Amino acid sequence: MTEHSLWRFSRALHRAINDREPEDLEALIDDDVDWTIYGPVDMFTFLGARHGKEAVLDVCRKIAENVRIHRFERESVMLGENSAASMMRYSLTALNSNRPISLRIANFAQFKAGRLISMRVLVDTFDLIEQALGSPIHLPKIA
Amino acid sequence: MGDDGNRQCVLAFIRAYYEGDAATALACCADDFDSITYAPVDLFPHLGHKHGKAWVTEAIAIQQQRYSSRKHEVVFIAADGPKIATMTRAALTKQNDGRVVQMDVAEFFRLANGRIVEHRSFFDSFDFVQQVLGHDLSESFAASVRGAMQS
Repeated sequence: MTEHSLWRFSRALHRAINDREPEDLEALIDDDVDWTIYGPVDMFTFLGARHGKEAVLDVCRKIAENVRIHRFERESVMLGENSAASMMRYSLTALNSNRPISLRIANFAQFKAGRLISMRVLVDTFDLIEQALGSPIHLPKIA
Repeated sequence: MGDDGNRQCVLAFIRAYYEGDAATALACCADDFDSITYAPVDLFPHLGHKHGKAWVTEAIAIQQQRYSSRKHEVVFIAADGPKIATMTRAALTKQNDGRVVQMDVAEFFRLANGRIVEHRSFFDSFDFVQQVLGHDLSESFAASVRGAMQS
């Protein structure tokens, strides 16, 4: 049975971030990849939309410069023929402040010939910002 | 129920949720329905961890009160047996000022006997808060966050 592209991609991504070795990842990203991590780009430079392999590798470099992954757990994974969706729980450290960050991430990936062609990532950004700040944001109730 | 039945159940739930059809949405859910929407519950008290089908009716009612028009498009769906994941693009028109707020929502469902028993949801909550309030909050926090994050 052939290994699903998600597993290869996931291993290569973690290697690129924690070990700063992006070679494996580079081989698994399509030249025309479409990539978005939704969130405030003026706070986290590695968030936002990117197009093309070089831009995505640059984002991964930026993530590696900013955080270290300590632990992750796949809470839910759905594998399609050329697609995958997963809900992950990550324990990270912000390298500059040494502040621990714990967050859940939703990933939606599409592959073609074993290479990533599309990635969408959603995070509870309000929680992420509060953790990065180290204090709650106080706003009035909305609903 | 097979994979396609589960997929249809989830799509019917999402459609009913945005169309305000509580009866159909409820019919898609098991009695012990459990939902977590990962969002700031101080700001959105109707989100967070909710157990039981009653939440579905409550959440739909709140959406109807707040938004005069609720459009949606499921842009990604992945199914794996009893587990379904979707990404939905929603455009909501606010009742009080007519402004349209947009968000992409990730939802993870688990079904049993053809009904949804578990629902987990995420969205770019900071962006949504800014859109609902109608002003940019990032300026207030950007420098502090950048200082904490960037090497």
